[in-house]
Amino acid sequence: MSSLRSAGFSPCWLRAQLATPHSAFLDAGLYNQIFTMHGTVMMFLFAIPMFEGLAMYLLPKMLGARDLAFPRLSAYGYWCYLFGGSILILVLFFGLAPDGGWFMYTPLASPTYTPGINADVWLIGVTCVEVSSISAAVEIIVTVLKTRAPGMSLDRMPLFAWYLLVTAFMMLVGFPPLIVGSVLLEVERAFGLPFFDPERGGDPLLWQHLFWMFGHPEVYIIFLPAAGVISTVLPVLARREIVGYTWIVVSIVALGFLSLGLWVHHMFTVGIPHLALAFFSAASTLVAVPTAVQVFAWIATLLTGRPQLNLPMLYVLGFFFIFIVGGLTGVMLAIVPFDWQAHDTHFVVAHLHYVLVGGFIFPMMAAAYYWLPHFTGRVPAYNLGQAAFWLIFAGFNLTFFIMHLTGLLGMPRRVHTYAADLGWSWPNLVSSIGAFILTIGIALFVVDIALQLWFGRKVRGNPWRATTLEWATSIPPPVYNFASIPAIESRAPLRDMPSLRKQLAEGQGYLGFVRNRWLETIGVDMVTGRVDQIILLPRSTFLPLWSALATAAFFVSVLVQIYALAILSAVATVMSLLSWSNASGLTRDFGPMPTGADEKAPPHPESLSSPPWWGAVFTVIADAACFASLFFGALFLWVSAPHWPPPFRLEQGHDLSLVAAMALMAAMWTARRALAANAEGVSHRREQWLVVTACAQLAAIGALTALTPLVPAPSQHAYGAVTLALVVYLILQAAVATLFALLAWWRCRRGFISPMRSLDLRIARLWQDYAAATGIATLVLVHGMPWLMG
Amino acid sequence: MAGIMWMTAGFMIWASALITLYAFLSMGCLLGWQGVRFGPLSLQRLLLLLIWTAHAVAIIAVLLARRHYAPQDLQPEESRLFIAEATSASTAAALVATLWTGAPILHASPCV
Repeated sequence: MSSLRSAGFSPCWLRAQLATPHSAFLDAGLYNQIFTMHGTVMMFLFAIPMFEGLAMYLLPKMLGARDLAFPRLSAYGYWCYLFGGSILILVLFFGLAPDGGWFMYTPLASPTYTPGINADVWLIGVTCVEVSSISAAVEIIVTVLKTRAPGMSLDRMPLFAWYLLVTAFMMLVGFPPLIVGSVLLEVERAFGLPFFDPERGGDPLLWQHLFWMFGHPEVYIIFLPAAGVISTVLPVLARREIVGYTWIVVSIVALGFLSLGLWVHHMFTVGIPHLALAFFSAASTLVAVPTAVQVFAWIATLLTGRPQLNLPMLYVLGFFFIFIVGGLTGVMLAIVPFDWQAHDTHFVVAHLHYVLVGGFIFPMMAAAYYWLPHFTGRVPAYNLGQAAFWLIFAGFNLTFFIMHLTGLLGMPRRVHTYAADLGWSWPNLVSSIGAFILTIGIALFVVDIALQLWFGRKVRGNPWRATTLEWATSIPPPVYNFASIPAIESRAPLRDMPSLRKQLAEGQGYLGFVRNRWLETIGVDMVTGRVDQIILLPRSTFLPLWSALATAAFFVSVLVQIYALAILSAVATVMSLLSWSNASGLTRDFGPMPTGADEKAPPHPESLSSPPWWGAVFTVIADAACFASLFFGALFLWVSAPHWPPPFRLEQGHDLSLVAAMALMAAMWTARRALAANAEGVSHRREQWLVVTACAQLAAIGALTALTPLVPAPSQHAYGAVTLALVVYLILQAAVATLFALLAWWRCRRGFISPMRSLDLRIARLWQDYAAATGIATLVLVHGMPWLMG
Repeated sequence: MAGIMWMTAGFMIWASALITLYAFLSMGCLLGWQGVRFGPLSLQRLLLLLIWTAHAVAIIAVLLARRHYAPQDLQPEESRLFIAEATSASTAAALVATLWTGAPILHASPCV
């Protein structure tokens, strides 16, 4: 709410400034800070956390689970978000807010043109928040895939879960490019390594690529959960099942992939060859198809149902109008010649607000009115919501519809004032009036929600007659959601079993009892929804808060350039995260245990497909996306940057690279030997192999560390900078692999591992494999490209 | 997990097509492949056509192979039908997407 307030009211200042020509209300510097913070806060601190919060509240209830797969990870992510966001917000009061635009383009954001810490605040704060987003992505994926109620096969899963599943995968691969870009830019600013400086072999376009590889999927990452809200709310209010469930699922998957391949359409004017523009223009037009499939499915649901025009439906209809206008102007901008005309004008500002406000804010307002009775047990007491809707709808269209014209008249974005004779005065004045009406509407909405929280009429049960499982909890729900867990036989469990809530409350479902004082939920096969394990959930703890504090201390230390403290904080973060494992797992084998429904399942530490295993797999995928971004950066500089080929090459250190590669592969092999020894029940050999694995990784770290001083002049040319970045990345991977080998060894010693409980060993092996794979790829690139490019 | 992998295989190939085409276009422009002739085609356009066609063929192969190799023993039956239908639809969509995205190879100038 704090983010919404600061981001929501700041545009009023911008519109006040632009209402008249030659306005002196804000100077250029302050205007720049406000529009930068408006975009940054809305994108990073409002939209993403808003849907993550909704997902974390709703998903377990919709899926019939007692909690998320990794409650401590979510808590850690929340604190990282709070601390990272606070860095960004607090600097506003000291006049140090970022002022280079929410996209931080170089060279504007480079130290030459943005001295001081304004840009560093953005890079550090956003990266801290991104840590939270990656953890949320892993959480959502594993929760959706593993913690569903028994019988909830993929085809019976609520559409909202499908939307979030695809969104979380997009976050997993879409956010790492920005993390890598931000780290590289911060390193350039702090240490002078010229990744983006064209005078020294860097390329500002590399920043644009890395930023938009994140930035374009980001739009869909925001839109898809909101579309999930529409697909959930609309059929309930239309009083029929959604039309085209399978087609909607296929559209979500298609949208997820296509949106990752459009990033260049933000760069149509930078001088990319026509054929490349055509590839991305074609892909950009394609994305309208799966979006349209969903829109037609929603319209068909409305046409064939018996819709009720109530408050959530009003916001859904508002979404239809506004989002479709935004989608159509999006197709216009996907066409290269039109984009060349409208690029960086207010037409684009109008388009993006139609997409984001239509595609996110209106559905989220519908969601607020639809699910608030679930959160609070109350329904609105006054009819302020309707007045708020009409003010928001009218104010929004008054502000932004006319802004298309302002853009077509040639007014560029991000200018703080304009001359009176350009014909831009009256449309700007209309937009500004609209913006104030919009703000009044949003304020009225907030008042209405607050009134509902305090004075709303109490409600019990299921006020909308919805059919999904979240309404099978009591309202408001208890912390463990369900006293017992339901068995699912269709997509609409509450329609088929109207007394389900009572049955579950009476314990007539799975796990309707307490065993060993454990908090348990059911784990299922990802596709069929068959029970395959009992997941043991952790108890409440402050550990995530301490870990997030250490993480925040690291980021703040980097911001204020106290690097010794940054290293200490990094070590504290790692130690704190490792300490989470103290209370995780079992120290003896239990075998299959009763689930309370005529079947048995093992506890998750004895399962080969447990949530922690999949959590590790998806974390590795996020890490691989970071590596792919860095790898792309190196290739891009070789192929496209000015002043390449570099004047010097890495001509020594082949022997060190060979030693590192062999050590990484040896660790891969010895980790397998540890697993084999564990399967045979030879515990002392298992531990020996783990120690050997850690030693092999340490040997790799030694060889790679010895290689770093041989990298030629990292501050003089981007070749040295990017080569050094690759080698340092590899050292970090080897360090992570060492830690996992040692953690597995330590947990062996503590009795957490047995032939039936091999999770830690498999996770350690996964990281050894990843370190070896990235190691070989990196060393081939580092030594191969100079040879290949001559 | 196999069911999910089959559902997404077509679009993974589409993503590979887009990235490979963009990478080879950039490399080709740097190394002057558009000046090397192979009959009526430049080396640049020939390579891009081969990459494009190979990816389209790979998606067709997925479309055909899923009948034999996609999980057949899923229960309940609705789940199996859902995975089969969604896999067919998404793979066909990926094929259309690949053909549409790569079509400019046939007419646009590579390195202008």
